[in-house]
Amino acid sequence: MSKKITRHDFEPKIMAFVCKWCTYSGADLAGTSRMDYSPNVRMVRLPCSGRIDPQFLIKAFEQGVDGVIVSGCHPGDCHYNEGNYYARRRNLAFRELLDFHGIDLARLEFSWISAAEAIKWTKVIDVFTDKIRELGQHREYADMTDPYAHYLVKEAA
Amino acid sequence: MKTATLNQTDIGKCLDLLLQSEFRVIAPQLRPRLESPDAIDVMMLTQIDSGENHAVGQGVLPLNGVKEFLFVKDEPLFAFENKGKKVLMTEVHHDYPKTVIFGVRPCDAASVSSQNAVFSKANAGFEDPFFTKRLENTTIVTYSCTNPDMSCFCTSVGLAPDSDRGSDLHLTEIPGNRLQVEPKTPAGEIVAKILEPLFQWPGEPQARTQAGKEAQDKITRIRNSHLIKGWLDELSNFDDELWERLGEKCIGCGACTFMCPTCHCFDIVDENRGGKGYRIKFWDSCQFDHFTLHASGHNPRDSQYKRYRNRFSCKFKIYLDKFDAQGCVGCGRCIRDCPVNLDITEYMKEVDLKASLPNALQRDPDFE
Amino acid sequence: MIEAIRTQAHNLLENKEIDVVIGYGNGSDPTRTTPVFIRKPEEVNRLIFDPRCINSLPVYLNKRQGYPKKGWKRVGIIGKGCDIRAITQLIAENQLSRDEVYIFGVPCDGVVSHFSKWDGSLRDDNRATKCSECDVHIPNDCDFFPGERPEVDRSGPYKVSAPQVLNLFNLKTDKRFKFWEKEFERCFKCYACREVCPHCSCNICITDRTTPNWIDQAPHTKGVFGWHLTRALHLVGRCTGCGECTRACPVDIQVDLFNQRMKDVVQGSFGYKSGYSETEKPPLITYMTDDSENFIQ
Repeated sequence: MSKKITRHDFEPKIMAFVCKWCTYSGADLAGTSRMDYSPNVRMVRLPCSGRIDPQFLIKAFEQGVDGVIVSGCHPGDCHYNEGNYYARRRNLAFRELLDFHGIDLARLEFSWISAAEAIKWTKVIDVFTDKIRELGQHREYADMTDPYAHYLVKEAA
Repeated sequence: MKTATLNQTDIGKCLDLLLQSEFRVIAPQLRPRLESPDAIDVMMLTQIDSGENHAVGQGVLPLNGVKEFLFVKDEPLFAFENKGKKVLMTEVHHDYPKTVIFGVRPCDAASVSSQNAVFSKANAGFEDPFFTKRLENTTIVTYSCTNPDMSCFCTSVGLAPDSDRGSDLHLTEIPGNRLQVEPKTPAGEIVAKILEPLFQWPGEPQARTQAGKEAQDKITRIRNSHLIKGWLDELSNFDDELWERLGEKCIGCGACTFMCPTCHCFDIVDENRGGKGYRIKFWDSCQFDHFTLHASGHNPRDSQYKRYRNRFSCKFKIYLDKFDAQGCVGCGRCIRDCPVNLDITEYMKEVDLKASLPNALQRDPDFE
Repeated sequence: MIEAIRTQAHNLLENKEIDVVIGYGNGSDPTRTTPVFIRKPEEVNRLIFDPRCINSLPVYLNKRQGYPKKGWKRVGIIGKGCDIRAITQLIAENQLSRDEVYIFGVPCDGVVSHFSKWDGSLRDDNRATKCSECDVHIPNDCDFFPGERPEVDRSGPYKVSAPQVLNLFNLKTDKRFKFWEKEFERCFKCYACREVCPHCSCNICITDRTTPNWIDQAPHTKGVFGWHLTRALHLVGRCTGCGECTRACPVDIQVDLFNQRMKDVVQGSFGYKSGYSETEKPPLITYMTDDSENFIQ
């Protein structure tokens, strides 16, 4: 099941904050099943989606990441019973906050992916990566990431 | 240095002439009003690109002072990068454009010498080259005040609404919608030469002195300040009851220190991302609770009133001791901006009262 | 009205039922008021109340301001409706317990939006925006009220946000970003917005923590955005809309706009209005199994 490899000019950096019981295991399954998907994603494994502090997401954008995925167990299936319920509320509020500040919500994706849903994992990653590739570099944050770039002495040509 | 007069309506043209002469021009402008019924008219010194829409001479004084153009709110000192086992440090390139700040009020102009005292080798023994180079390339055109408001108190600290301390080119409103123009320094002369096409001669020194006097008479906030340093020098007054009584309501927001034209505390941090970064200098405030926090966990100024005590002492004693410079210029920004109406002139009044009491009575605890 | 409050304060101080009364006194200029701490019964005449009293006094009940260090066991506090909502919210979050405060409620018709607009009378053109949509002109909870306290039905939703929030909300995303970028150019991280907020009560604020350094200290755009996003985030479901943050900002940035927007989100999505109940749990520490998740794949 290998895909045709295409070269692109811009390869986005994607980060995924995932819960270890469901989504991480799902991604693991995708790996052991030798499924192909876009390699742009870097994962951070947390015990539960409820542990994901929106501060991590802000920090990810500040460090130059072009797209962020947050994923956990389906509601009702959380290993700690309720973590994902809190995450759901928190993320709803956080999305609205980012939107109000003018940060493009297309760069932030939320999903419920269980340990058996390896195929869904690959689909979510592929679709998101393509979308971010279309959108390009995270322009607003790109300017901010290196706040003093314009101070660096220009090298003599 | 010959004085001249200028029509007030020609100020826009002055700004244009300066822009054409390749100066970076900073002048007061009315900020566009936010779409909110609560918004108040706010005037700020900003970089302009045309002489239209300036607010020179309007209002009392701009929200910000000249501090942010000389002692900037944040700047990188150098860049660094990991290269194998070594760390490579590189210079950062600052611009020092020739600048005219037009329409500075006398209190702000006087504060420049206080800031310079802190950052120049002569007084402080160590030079901040970013500041001194910026100051070298800056010309300050002052505009005397005609309408001080109830928070202004420059006359209580040895200044006046028409003071020319720190000014390179001094403008004062005189009758007939005109301005008296007085070059004070060689830098001011250079600017005056550029604006000469708009001048008329001769100047009118009497009208100018009269205008200055009229503005001084409008100041209502008057305090005696000549006994304050002596009282602060007396070590036993460090524990006086007035500090806690007056400073209790301070919430430590720091607004006063950031808006104060003479306050100059700064912090330095290293910020990096993946092995590359900058060392950055930016504004700090003695009103923050961790300002004097030691690594051991001990904090000598652990209550807010102690931090305000430090601020007051800094302005009226420490500046004079360490830098031989004026600590407070009486602009009144700290009074206007304080959310809880903590008023430095209340402190001045109370200290003066205590300092005026004869010594024997001061020491008697039963004296009412 | 204030006489009744002064008398009650006098009695309580004399009987040592409360240690101090935090109230409003005349400021250093005719247009201003200032917080006063009355400890002696004979000083109660310094207490006043009129439309100049903009301050939100519950900030002094906040642990961060050193309140427990002062050794106060029971504190009297004068509260307008919006201030009492802040106290109720602090109690709901266990930052304060109800028997530590004695609340003197005052009937309030509104306050002036800025002291420079006060000229002796309160009118529609100088009243603060937050007052026009207020439903706690008569406070919702207090220990003492001068006169009759009529019952008011506050079960309905807040009125919709101030026009400035809606105007900003109606802009396109990139224009909104440009708006905030321009506004934040002036911000130099003085943290006045944090200090004046009755709810900002962390002993060591996340911005002051350097190991690890979540929020950049320096006031470049990245650091400023990081700070304001974090502050708004930490106030979701808690902000009671006093507007002190915008008033305290020395460079006139409207920092309460995002708090007001989040207030609408919290009400719309979670059905929660902050500051009306001491027992209802704040929205982010509770959940419903049928919470909206239309944004989740």
